[in-house]
Amino acid sequence: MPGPSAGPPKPRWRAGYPEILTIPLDDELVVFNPISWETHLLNAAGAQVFEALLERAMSVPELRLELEDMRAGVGEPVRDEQIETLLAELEDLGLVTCLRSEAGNANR
Amino acid sequence: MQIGDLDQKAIERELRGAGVAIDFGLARVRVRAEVTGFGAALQLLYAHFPFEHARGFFEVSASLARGRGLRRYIRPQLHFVVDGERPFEPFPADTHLPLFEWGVNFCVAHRCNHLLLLHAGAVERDGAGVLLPALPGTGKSTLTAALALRGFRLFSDEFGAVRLADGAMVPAPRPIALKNDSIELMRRFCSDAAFGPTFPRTRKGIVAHLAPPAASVARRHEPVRPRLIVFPRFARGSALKIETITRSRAFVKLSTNSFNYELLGPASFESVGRLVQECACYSLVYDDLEAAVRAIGDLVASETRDEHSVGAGQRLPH
Repeated sequence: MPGPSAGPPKPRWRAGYPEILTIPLDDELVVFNPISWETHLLNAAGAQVFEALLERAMSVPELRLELEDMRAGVGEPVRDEQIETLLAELEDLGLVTCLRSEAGNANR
Repeated sequence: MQIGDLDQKAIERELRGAGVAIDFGLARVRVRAEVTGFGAALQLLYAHFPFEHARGFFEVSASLARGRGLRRYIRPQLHFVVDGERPFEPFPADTHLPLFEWGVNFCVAHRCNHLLLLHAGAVERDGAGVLLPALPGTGKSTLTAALALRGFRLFSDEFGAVRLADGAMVPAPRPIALKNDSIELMRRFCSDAAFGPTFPRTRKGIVAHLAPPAASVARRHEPVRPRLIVFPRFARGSALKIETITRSRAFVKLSTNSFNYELLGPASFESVGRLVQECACYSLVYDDLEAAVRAIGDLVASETRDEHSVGAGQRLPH
């Protein structure tokens, strides 16, 4: 499988706002969005992706490697399409943002 | 002097004049009324509260006002008036006490937003607060009353009030409104319990109120740390069933059960988060009240055992 550095720059994702509040509950995560004033419960997979993006902005391949590290080989391998679906859902909730313009600038 | 020590004429004079002040811990209420029977009911159910002249600040300053015009004579009605407003439809004049209690609940739910307000029964034993969040009609008040009659300290049958700053439960011991079959059930459960008058024609059917125990009233300014969250549900014919529930599930249930979760936003998010992190969370399905009371007692004992063994009691600021 190609590493994150292969090919043209991929768009990177980051957690929506630094003011977002989170509380870990076992392997899940509750998140308060200060813009929408809504609370969301993220399952284990969602929690892992979101917590990783709170640390730093990442592309899908970078996220895949990060998740594989977190899981230390336990469970099914994570596919990029699964991560993309999850990111789209988190974006709909206003919890993550895609830095598309950054990828566009890198492509010029 | 306590409200129960006043003679009938004195309490009615106060109700017609400056009003009767009731400090139930979470809030102070002043009530005025010129309604036959209300003074006697108030005196019976608030007997253990200190009598205070109605001076100073009140979170709720209310009166029960008769309807005007023909309504004074034909199917007379009573309005709950608070700060000059009539926030909801009038009640029949002979349901004065349910109107007062419902009105105070309405005001607390709308005004006490310095606290996280859960729709929950709340009791305490051995320094451990127990929250019993539940939807209406699931037996929350009946179970709370049963616990109060078996030695738990009554905080409230309606409000699990939690301080935002430190997560402590704030007492609000007031009469417990029991409805329909629960009234006779509780009379059998404790034959010497102090009940107020029965109101047969309320919107919720037959209602009678159980007076809060004197010991709970005396300690109405003593908050406690919550240790246990039990989501109760009465199911006729069901065997007792207790299950632990995940913290995330408890978070969802508490946040949707709260009166003011959405209003308080980040403060309530953190408050609910602290509750589910610091408390053991269970669901309880029951039919037999005695068995449910014993089960909750056992859960409290199990939660407090370690604490007692190391003498880690903690006094909270009032």
